[in-house]
Amino acid sequence: MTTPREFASRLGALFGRASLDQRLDEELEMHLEMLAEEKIRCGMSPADARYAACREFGGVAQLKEQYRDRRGIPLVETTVQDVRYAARGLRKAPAFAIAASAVLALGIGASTTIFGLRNAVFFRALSFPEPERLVAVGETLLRNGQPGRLGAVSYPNFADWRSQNRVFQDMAAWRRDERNINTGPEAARVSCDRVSQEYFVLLGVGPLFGRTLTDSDYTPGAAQAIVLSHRWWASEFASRRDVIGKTIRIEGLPATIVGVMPPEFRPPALIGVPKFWMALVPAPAELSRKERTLTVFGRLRPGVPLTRARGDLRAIAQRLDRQHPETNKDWGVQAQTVPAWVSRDASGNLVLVLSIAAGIVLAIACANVASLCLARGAERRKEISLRMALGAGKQRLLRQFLLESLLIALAGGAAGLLLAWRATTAFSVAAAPLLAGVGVDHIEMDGRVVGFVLFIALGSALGFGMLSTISTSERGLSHVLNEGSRTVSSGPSKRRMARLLVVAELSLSLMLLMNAAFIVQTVSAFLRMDWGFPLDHRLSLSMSLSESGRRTEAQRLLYFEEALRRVESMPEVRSAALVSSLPIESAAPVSPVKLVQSGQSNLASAVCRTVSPHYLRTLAVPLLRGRSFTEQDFAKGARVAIVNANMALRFWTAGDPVGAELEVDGQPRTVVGVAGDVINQGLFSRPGYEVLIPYKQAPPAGMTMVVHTAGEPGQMLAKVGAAVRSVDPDQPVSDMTSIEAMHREIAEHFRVILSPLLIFGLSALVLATVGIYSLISHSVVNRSREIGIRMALGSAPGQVVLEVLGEGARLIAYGLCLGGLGGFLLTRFLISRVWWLTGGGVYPYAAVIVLVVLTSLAACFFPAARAARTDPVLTLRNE
Amino acid sequence: MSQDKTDILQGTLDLMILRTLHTLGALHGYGIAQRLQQVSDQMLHLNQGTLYPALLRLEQRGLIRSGWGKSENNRRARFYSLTAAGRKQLRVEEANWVRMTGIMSRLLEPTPSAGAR
Repeated sequence: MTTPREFASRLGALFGRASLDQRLDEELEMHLEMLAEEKIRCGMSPADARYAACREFGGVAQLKEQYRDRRGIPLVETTVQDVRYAARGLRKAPAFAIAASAVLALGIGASTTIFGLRNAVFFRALSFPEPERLVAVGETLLRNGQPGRLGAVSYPNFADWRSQNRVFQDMAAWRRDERNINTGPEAARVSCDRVSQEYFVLLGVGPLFGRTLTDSDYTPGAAQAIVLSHRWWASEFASRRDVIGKTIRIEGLPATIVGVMPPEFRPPALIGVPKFWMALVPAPAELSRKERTLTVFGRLRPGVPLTRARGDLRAIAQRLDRQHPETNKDWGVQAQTVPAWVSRDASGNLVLVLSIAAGIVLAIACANVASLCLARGAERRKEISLRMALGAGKQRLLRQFLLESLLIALAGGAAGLLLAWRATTAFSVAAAPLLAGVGVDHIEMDGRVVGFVLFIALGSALGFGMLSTISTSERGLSHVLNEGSRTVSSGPSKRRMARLLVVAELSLSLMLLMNAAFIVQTVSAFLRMDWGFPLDHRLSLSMSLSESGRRTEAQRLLYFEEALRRVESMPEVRSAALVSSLPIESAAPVSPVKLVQSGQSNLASAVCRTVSPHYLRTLAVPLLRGRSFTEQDFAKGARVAIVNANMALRFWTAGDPVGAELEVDGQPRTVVGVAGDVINQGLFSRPGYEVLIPYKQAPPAGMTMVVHTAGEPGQMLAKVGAAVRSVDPDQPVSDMTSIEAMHREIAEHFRVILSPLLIFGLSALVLATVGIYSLISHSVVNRSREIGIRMALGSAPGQVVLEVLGEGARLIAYGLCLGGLGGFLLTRFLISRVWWLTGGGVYPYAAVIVLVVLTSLAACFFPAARAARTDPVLTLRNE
Repeated sequence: MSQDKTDILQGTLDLMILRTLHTLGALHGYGIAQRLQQVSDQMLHLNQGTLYPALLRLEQRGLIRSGWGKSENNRRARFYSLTAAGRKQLRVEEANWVRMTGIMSRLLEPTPSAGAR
């Protein structure tokens, strides 16, 4: 029973211990003297009196000890003592202390850097209240009744889900869009999110100031209202608070700024932050159930599980399928929690790869420190047995070991945090565009990251602290003393443990290197990958027609044709064409295509691009069969289509669909040709089926122009841009770049992602090499007597070298087997998650295995050579 | 050590000290020991040293306070005296003790059945 008052008094006693000791001494001395004087008065001699007094008083030393235990807080005092002792012990073994904390710092630094990245991308990016109740819902084409990937949603379907479901508090829809705006003299095209009225409420995030969108902004005929992103507010409006109420022009129409969002607000997806948010008032085209363009999410009612939500949504989807077969046939619904949906994203996969790599480096570092601790434990066996013989309690010894490893872990953790901080700074700069693409401005070392470091450091300290005590505390004192004598070398269990650790290190580093090699190889193959068309002398630019200015298809056509004509007439231009989206752009819309073959109809989902006549020629995509589009097709408005080889081979016998009938978006068309395959759903998606149709029959509001230039495309950019702008100066032209520059940028992104992977792989190899080196050195030292005897009996130095190498080689062999298997499994796992990791040849694996074997054998060779130089006479004399 | 001395009953030393300080006022450790011996007619087996941890305990609990002073023969000595809390605690413990001894004496009274054995 300790009252707070008593505790305070004890706490006070921790300080000023010396004066308190003195006080007790003084009191006791007085007591004894007075007692002795009393005896003297009774007639004893002074010496006898003193003796009698002492006897009557009892044991002074025990009393003092009891008194001290009572006075302070013994646990704290002894702990302070132990910490001091541990620090002194580490100072006496600086090599061990530095090596262990440096190794740990490497592991902690690597894992913390990646944890910081995860934290920034996933946790901070999804910093909405109760994100696990947010569920992403999307339409999906059913294959044999099974839902596929979660895709975009049409407005009417969203509206029906929203009104008919019984599982969500509410649902919201949004879509990333672009708008031509005028804030000043220059027209610009900027990103914006059009959001339904439930959006901000459901996410649970309010504005920094001003207001978000309210129901009044959605009433028909309401003036446009926009909410600014923090970043755009800072860059475009100089962070002025009086922007509220200001007007800007969007597509020529006035829009009022009503609020500014806080800096940390992001859309609930791995996508950059838009410039502003505006009301999603569906355009007439968007009211079709075919126009699947929206991202939809809902907030589950409290306590509703995801499975029930899925069931409910599927029932609605089936109803819609029956009610609107022309648009909803074979369309189902897919739902995932927003965090799960986000982590399956392509960027999520990259983070996953890095996380695995960092985790492996941490594991190797821990194994390395553990083996260092084992070696140190072996060296200290004598000291420990001596301390036990002198009466040190097991618990006290255990505590001291733990404290020692705690000191190392804290030093390693601090250094690791510093390392991670440096690495994060470097990485955020190098990967800034990539990070902005997923809505992350900067990676912050917040409390969660520091907590992670502490957790890892404490966990590892506990782990190897225990390891270094297990062998000593479990065995009896005499056993330790026996084993510690000169005649026996390291205990068998300890050596087994040390070997196990080295095998683990070797196999983990092999695993990591195999994967690094595999990924580097496939990425370089990916960068060399044939896009299906040549990249040189090609440039592209985007035009997006203002919705207010050119509403009708005829007006749009007029503009596009004029722009195309002006560019084509330039002498440096060989060919130019329009396409609804570049093949390597991932946002290409997928349409259902019905194939009619001998009375049987087949349904496929294909990327559908609308193109101008010279599209194939401009990109130099080969025409495999039939013919290309002609001017006559365009003039007559012929319902024609060109399919890609992939689709032709899959659906038509002999891959010859020319003359076949198909229905694209419900419109019947005749196939006139087959084009070569190109990357057609963005670089990170497997190329799919593709249908090209002439753009004149339904010109979209935005088109991309691709130009084949005679000269260097970089020098042509400005001229081509000027030619397009000359059609209408108020019409912005965006994304002007050469295809080669685009490719370079992608390669650069990969370099940024891959460099940490390579650094991790090499660090792992270094750590494992150091691990096996120290193990073999240690074993050579332990066996020096045996080796000496053998050499005295006539063993040749070469034999000794071979034998020591053999010991290492056995470990390496185990490591190779385990690591090879682990590496193989890990690679399979990655291939299952990231399509373009298709697995390469055997060479990278072979190269990595040779690298690991050579470095680790070299690490064994040095101690082996040292063993061979053993002078038998010297060793035996030492004994 | 003679066999006829009584060991101090567990937990009673505190009460003895409190009571002594209550009766005699501020006193040093030696004085308390002398008083206990005197009251018990030398029948108490007291390791005088054990007084000091007990004094510390009481002080920590705020029942007594201590300060330096001069002893009767002009030595520097540490004097202990009761605090208000100590006086209150003394009353509680005295009552407890009386109750406990009452129970004990009733329990130990020879009963007819016990007498038959």
